[in-house]
Amino acid sequence: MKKVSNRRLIAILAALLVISLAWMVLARVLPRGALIAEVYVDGRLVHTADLNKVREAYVLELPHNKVLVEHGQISMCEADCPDHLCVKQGKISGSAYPIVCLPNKVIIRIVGKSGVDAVSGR
Amino acid sequence: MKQKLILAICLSLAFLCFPGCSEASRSSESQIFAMDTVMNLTVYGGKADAALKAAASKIYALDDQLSATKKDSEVSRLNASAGVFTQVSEPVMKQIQTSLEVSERSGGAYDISIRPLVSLWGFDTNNAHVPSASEIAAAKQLVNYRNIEVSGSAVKLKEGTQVTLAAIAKGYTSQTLINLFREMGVKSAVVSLGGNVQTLGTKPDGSKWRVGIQDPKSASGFVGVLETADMAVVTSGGYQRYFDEGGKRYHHILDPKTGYPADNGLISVTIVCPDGTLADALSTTLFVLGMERALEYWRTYGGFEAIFVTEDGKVAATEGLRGCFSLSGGAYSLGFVSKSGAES
Repeated sequence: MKKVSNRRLIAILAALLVISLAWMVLARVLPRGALIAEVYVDGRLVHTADLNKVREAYVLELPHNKVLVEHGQISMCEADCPDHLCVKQGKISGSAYPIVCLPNKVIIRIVGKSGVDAVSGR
Repeated sequence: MKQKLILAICLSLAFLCFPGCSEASRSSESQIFAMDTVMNLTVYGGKADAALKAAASKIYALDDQLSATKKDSEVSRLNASAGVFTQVSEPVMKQIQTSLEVSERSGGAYDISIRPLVSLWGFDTNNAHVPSASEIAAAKQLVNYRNIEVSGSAVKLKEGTQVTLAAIAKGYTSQTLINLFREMGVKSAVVSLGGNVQTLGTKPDGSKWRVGIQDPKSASGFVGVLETADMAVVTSGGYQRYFDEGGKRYHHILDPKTGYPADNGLISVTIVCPDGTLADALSTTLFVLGMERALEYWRTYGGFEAIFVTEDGKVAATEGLRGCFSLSGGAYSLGFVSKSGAES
């Protein structure tokens, strides 16, 4: 009887080990499911969306800007600021460069790994 | 038996757990709109929230003090009192002194008395335009750092002289924030003041910060990545603030000698050095000097490292960055420059 229990224990241990290892490998290999975009107005988070789950594009209306949320990408489609730099930046799908509308204090950014901690540029 | 099973489950669960959920790696972030840009501050450790709060009030105070366009700022008052000595605060004095030193060393390639030219071009408004040659010649007459006189804690501007700290204020501010964080006991932080980056210490796990150098030719990529600790990383380039007129592009970094935007084949210059104030002034200076004279400046005075990006797709980095700077893609070719003049 004791022998059987030991075998069973080893089998359980082995199974758990395999599951853990598989989990670790899959977590690294499989593409990340979510592509989270955040919209801030004056430092306040006003909207969050998983762009990979957006089926139908929609427009988010802010007091001075309109944000176009689409599958896999996001952009500023309208703004009442003088320079329209935010609109000209086009659609973003990665986290390296957020869209910024300085006059209206709006930021659209994609959360996630760009591989860097900060970007130096002018 | 049961105990062994529980132990086994616990061990397996330990495999699944991520390391490093300690207090030191906890971070807080804030976004601040000031100095005509957006600032991102990230502070690690238990004092993060207090540090960010202190940082925000410091930034707003400096913005009110240093702006050349806000009517009641200290700089505006200085500009309005030409011909007499005016007492200035320590932040303003520090920036003027650093500026005058860099002006002297660069033969006037960097000059804070450039304000009459900046205003003429309209770069401090939304209506930038190309002035006439005679207007530029007249404004150029007013630009000369030697017309700024310092005595103790007072500054005198010659009649007609107008200063702007726009090319140094963000660097001074990032340095001030890093000093503030250090005094509060923060060990790890990174700030970006509209692309002016400065780091405190290393990341909480002891590894270096990875700072991307923006690609002047593409809005979504990096030229390369710099791995660094305890350094300011400041870039100047003509690729973000510019206007088009008559089929030609005019960027905002004016050469005090010509009165026109610097045009020497460089499209971006990044300075890496421990002092944020100096890094900011030098990035503009070296951009105006052009590659050859910039390298001459580096060889003569040192104290910093630099990364140059040229119009024709070349990247040159000073030798101190060997091993910490690498290209991100295939669009550029990289060479390192040594003090002796050899390139590799």
